Amino acid sequence: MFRRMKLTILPTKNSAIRCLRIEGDFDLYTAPALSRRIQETQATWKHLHLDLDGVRYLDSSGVGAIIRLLQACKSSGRELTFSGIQGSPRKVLQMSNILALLTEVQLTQVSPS
Amino acid sequence: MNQPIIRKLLVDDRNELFDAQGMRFMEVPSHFGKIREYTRQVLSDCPEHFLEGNLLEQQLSELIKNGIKHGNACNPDKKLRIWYDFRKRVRFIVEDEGAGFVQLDDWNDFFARRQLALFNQDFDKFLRFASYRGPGSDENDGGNSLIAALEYWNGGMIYNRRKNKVGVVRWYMNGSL
Repeated sequence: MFRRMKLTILPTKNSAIRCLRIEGDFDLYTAPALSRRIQETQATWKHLHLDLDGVRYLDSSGVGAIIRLLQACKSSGRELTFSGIQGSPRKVLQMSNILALLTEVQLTQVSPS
Repeated sequence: MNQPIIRKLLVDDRNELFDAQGMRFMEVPSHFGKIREYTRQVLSDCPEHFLEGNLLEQQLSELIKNGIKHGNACNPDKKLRIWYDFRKRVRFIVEDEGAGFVQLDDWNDFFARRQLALFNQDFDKFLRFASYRGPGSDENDGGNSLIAALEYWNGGMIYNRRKNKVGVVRWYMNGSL
């Protein structure tokens, strides 16, 4: 009925970049686990890229997780970029006034796949 | 001098958004794990052109989540009541059995400061205000559902005086059935 979230680590052009692809529903049930998994790898990257091309449903918990990532990256001087934000997740980020804060790049700029 | 227009959450017991005449009704126990399931049940025969992908589902889910989690503290003995109407526009009334959204004025103050930071393009300050943290917030709360809601419910979003009941409406450009 609902699409659970899947997190995949994509190959990158640079070892300082962590590139994650998120697929499924980024919602009140899956956002806490995603935040924890990203935090677990926090020490190993200088640049985090999230590809949201496979996210079809985003709610305030998912937006909150993105905001916490923005705040954490800003305070630690790490870079955070996004790709693939589309459809209703894009609209939700827009309505929350968060979309304008996100740095969007092409996935091919960070991952050769 | 330019000033931004900042919306507010309003309280008005007598607002027409609380007129449930002709609306359909559903009552559910406050199971946190069933929030999206309840949402789908309410929307099961909603006309497709109101759904806007899954945007309506997402916004209704936030109202139900706020009632179940923050209103009824996920106590399954407490009920959440949902009135809904899909005639020409989408209307909901959602009522919980909790103490009410007592931080409503505090939230309006937070939102005004947030939007002022955005208007002034002070993004560092805006990022600090990006999520609302109230006394009942936990680490899993997004703290932004009402921000998007004020934008989405374009015909109004009104609380009753006890602040445990909210009425919302969204109008559509080509909403006539």
